[in-house]
Amino acid sequence: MALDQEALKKELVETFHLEGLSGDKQEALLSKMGEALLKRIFLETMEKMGNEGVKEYEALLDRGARQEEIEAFFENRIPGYNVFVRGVVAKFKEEMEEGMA
Amino acid sequence: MISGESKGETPDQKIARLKGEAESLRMEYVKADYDETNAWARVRNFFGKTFSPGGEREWQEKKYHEKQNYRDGLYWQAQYQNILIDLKSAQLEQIKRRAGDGTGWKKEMADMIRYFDLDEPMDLASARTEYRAGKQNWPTKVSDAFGALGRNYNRLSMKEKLAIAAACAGGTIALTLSGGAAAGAMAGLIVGGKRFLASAGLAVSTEALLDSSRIRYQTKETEKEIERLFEETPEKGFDYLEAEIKKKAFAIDDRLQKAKLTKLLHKAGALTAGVVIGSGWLTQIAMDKWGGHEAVDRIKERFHEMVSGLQGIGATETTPTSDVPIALHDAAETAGAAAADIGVQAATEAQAGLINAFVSQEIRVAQGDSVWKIGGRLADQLGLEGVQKTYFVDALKDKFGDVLLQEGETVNLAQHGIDQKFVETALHDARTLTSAQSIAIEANDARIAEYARANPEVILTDGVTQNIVEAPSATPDTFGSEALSAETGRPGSEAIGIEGVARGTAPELAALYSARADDWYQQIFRMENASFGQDWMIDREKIGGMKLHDILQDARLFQQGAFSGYTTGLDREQIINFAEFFQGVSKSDIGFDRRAFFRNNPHATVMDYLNEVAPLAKQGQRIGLYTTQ
Repeated sequence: MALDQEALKKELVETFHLEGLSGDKQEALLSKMGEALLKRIFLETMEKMGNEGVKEYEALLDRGARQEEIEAFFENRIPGYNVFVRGVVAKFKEEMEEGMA
Repeated sequence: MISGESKGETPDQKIARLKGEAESLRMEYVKADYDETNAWARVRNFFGKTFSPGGEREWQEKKYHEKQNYRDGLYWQAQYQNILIDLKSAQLEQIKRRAGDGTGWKKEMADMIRYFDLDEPMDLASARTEYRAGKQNWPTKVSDAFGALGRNYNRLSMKEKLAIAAACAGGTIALTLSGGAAAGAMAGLIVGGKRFLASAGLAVSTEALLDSSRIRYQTKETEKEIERLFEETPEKGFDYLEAEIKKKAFAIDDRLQKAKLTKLLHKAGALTAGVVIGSGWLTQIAMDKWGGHEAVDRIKERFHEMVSGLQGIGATETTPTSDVPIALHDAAETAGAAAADIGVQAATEAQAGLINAFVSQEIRVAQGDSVWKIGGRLADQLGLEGVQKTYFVDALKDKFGDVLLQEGETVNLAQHGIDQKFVETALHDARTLTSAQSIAIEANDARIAEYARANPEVILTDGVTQNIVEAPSATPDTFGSEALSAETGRPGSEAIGIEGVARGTAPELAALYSARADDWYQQIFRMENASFGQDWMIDREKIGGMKLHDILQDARLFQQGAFSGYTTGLDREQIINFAEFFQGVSKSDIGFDRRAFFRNNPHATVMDYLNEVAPLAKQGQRIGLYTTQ
């Protein structure tokens, strides 16, 4: 399904209450947020899987696994991975709120 | 005037400098905070005494360092938050200056406030992630993958980035959904740099970030008020914004102080109980489950009583004498181990009375007295030392003016503008100097001392010292230790260090200290992709032979954001590393007499310095971020 960039941006701007900001600042914040979250999810995932899981993930990287394989691997290694990711995001959100003046 | 700030700084340069400082302080705070609180540290604390290969002594040293880390955490948190306030004020000032241009400054201001509130917490969260990732024992390929994650993400189009943000944080747009697992898989896959998003599934199940009614409410209320006041007059709008910023600043400080006090008390309580129970972790359980926190609250009440009492002591003194700090010290001691840290806090509170008495008294000038000496006496009573004392006294002297006092005359500091408020501000500034500011002062001190030794007949007035500080640093003819020997008439730098260590010590100790200095050298100057002249191995002799005051001067220039005037040719990272090590030595308790060293070694080199410090440190001791062999 093709993504409608403007609709997606509008949705995210509303979700994060960025309405008052100029367009470039909105994009800058959303861009930064995506990167910060991806890295945090990656870190927490690796920590959760432990050494063995990390080694297996390394092997998947080596052979150029597809997204579905990686998704299945994470789900297998961390049952309820969906919930796990949600928890990571919630924790990230708490951190952000703590940092607010 | 000695300061880390540059006089000719433009507003843009100032903001860039503050952003740079905020970045550094953010990372320091994250490091200290992580090192203090990570779970492994607790486990190590619990089992440390039993399993520590070095036994009791090493365990005690670990405990000491953990305590230091804890204090560092509070210190860096305060520094970090202070710089954020400065940055916000500078940005506001800049927008105010543009107001006359009529170029949308009002919107820019609202933008700045909202952006700042969102942007900085995000940077802090990112810094935490980066630091934690750096602490992982991942295979190289996975570590590289984490690094590639950011790079590959930034190569994506905005559309793809938005898709990822939506996948991570959720949304209500009806797209193909596959849950949060997709976001994790994206993170796991994007490291390979694959362009997967054309068919990526997006999650809506995750909780929306920042979906906080509290934040939304506060933001909207503030914006409404700004809108209303700006419609009346721009001045009212500005006043309101300034008040908001100050309010936020105070709120930060207030929260910090409350958290600090509670944290100190709880920690102190845990440490005290730990002596009996024998384990930090177990003690924490005791604190949580067995009423330790209630006990702490009782201590807290006692603390407030103590503060009130101490304030009374300060206020009743008409002439400050050494009795006041002694009284503070005694009072702090009576509160026992748990109150040791609290005593520091209490002393801070009690200083108000001490300062008031000092600045309002009539001081009779004795033979040889100067504003510097009188300021120094107040600094001593306030417990300032080293660069903090220099900064503080310098601020007083600047305010008082470049005046030679006459024996027998009477001076009242408050009448010269050095009132309680001024002193408290100078004291606060002195205690919150950044590393770079401290280093700049150290470098200036060294240069002034060097000049004074060479020109004993010259009276060091403000003008003279200003000239010394602002004079360009001499460029060495060559950096080689042999050439330096000829220049200074002293042995080459390596010879100095090793001989100095070897004198009167066993040869194996000399070898140990030399290896230690080499190890520090490597930790400080090693770079993966060093440019010509910066290679820690190839250019070792050159780097090791660089003059200490040149590298410190370069650190100062970096801190000021100067574009030219650098002497050493080292990379920014190398200079900052050295400056941090230098600062770490000054702050540590190893007994390094910096002034004596500069006095005896006016042309000291990097290796002279490292070799001098090496015998003083304990094995395993951390100096800033640097370990000791």
